[in-house]
Amino acid sequence: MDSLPSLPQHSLPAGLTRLSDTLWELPIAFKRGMRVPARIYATEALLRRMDFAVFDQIANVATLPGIVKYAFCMPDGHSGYGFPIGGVAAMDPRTGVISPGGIGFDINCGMRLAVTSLTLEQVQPRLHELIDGLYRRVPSGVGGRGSLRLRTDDFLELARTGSRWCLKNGYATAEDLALTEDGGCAEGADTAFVSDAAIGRGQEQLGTLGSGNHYLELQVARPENIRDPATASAFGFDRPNQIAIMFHCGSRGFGHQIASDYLKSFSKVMGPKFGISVDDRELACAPFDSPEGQAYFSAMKCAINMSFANRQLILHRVREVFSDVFGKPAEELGLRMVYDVAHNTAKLETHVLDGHRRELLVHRKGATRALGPDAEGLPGPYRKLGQPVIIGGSMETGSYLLVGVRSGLQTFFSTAHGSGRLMSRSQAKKLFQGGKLSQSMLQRGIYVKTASLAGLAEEAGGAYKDIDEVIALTAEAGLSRPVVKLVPIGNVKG
Amino acid sequence: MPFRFVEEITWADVAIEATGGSLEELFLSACAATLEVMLDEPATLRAEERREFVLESQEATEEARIEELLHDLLQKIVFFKDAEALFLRVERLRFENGLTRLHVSGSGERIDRERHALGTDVKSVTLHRFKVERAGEAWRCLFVLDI
Repeated sequence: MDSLPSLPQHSLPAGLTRLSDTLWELPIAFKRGMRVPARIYATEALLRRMDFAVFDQIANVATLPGIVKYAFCMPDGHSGYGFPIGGVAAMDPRTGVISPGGIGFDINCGMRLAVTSLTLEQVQPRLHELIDGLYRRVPSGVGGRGSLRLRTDDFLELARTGSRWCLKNGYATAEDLALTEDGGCAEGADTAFVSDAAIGRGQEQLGTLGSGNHYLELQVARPENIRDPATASAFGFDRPNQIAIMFHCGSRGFGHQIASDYLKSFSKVMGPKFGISVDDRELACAPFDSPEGQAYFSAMKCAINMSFANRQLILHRVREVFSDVFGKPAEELGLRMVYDVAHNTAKLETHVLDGHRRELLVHRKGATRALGPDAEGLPGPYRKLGQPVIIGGSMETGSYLLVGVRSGLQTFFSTAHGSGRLMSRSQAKKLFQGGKLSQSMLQRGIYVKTASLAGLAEEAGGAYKDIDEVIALTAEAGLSRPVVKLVPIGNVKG
Repeated sequence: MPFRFVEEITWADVAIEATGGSLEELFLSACAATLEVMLDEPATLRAEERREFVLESQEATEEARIEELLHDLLQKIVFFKDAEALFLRVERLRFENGLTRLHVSGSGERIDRERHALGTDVKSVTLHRFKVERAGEAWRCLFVLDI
């Protein structure tokens, strides 16, 4: 990675208490209106490099009606709007609210990981061919339009059924769905609650990556980076220098518009109708148990489904490209799913709270669900192991496959989702140049194709926290356990 | 048109402060800033297609109507980018009926990644710290784009 100037270290807010080397608490007294304390997972070093708005934003989350236990900020937390990125909040569904700002505009933004039986030695000679093919077949960048155009009726069916639509239409295998969170379909999605504008924005974007921090990467699992050989093998990593495919994207304009529509409508009714006030309009919300709250929940599920289908369609294109380049069907190349998991959702889940099983509405914004061993909802092959957790790092430094652990119950089985930014996008563009960065990465064995050199500079490795530090913290805090670090060799950036 | 990116507000997204001598100028500045996030060299944008539309606000106060109209206008630029793959440069604005209606016209062209220096995709215009206010004789606004 290119060298960086030293970054500023911040003082810590008054009232912040260290509970352990990895956990800090803001008490209710920190900010007027807080209903529960806020807990932040960080080492002191990471905490001092967090932007100060994180503390204010996680305190705002703690003011939301119906929140139980704590407002959590994950180890990769950084400021966003409404919730910080890395924010987790569980609400009592009878008395609590649902907030689009607690999920993010990119509903069901998430990660998908697939493995191949190919090794670095086999892929290296064809790397440029593969990445160029993926860049052509998986549209990316601003305005990237999907190769699959659906009639409105078909698109609405896809929004109701998610990856099941892909299976029915030949774009998925049954195993793909089994290895996707919730089988790739959120039950209860109702397109009657989705606007024409959302459909208009999403209909042309199926099978696209988007831009910003979205990417599609070819990665290698080097022997020295296997942290838990038995679990790695159970997840499909069973040979040295094995090649994997990881990608990060969401529900595109469809989800963005649904979130925008409901944020606007909630901001109009929340005070007059429900008597709720919030410090940040991005926290606009409605009682979950209200017509407005249920309408958003149904519409949000449509976006969840569109996103699962989007990632499934991308996997289909990945299979086509690998098959074309190696002249064999994808199954003969051992190309199969490891897992697909969301990090921007609100879900009804059952958790043990103060010794009792309770149904809770868990908001995760830039936080990954991480179920421990024997949890309900895990696919058969992973039931005894725990859920695969996919955490994307920067395009220069690598990403991780982890596994959920029993101690994850402390955060309603939630963990980090990335490495977290260290600086703003404009600051990154001042420090890094896309063209030079691309050349520098090529010299280090990472071939990049991008729709935007400016966008590439914003995503430079130096703009992010050290992923190894974040993962070590995640493990030490008992939120999830690393299985294998995956190092990039090729990258498609939007 | 005067605008600047504000680094202190957000790291993951893009915060913009725009100014204008009139409301029309302010709105045009905000539109130009939004386009520049998505298109690195907006001067390269050709006027190949025209769009005209009307936005309305029924908010009770003038301040709320202005903010809603600006928010909806910026969202419309994002909508055209996704729904039609169209980069739109807003060129003319006309307020009517006590700031309850806004007539908008502009031009642009379909996104071409071979010819356009693409910037970063804008997912939405957030309400985080969204503000339009008078600044002496002029106007100022602040908004955050979700990236």
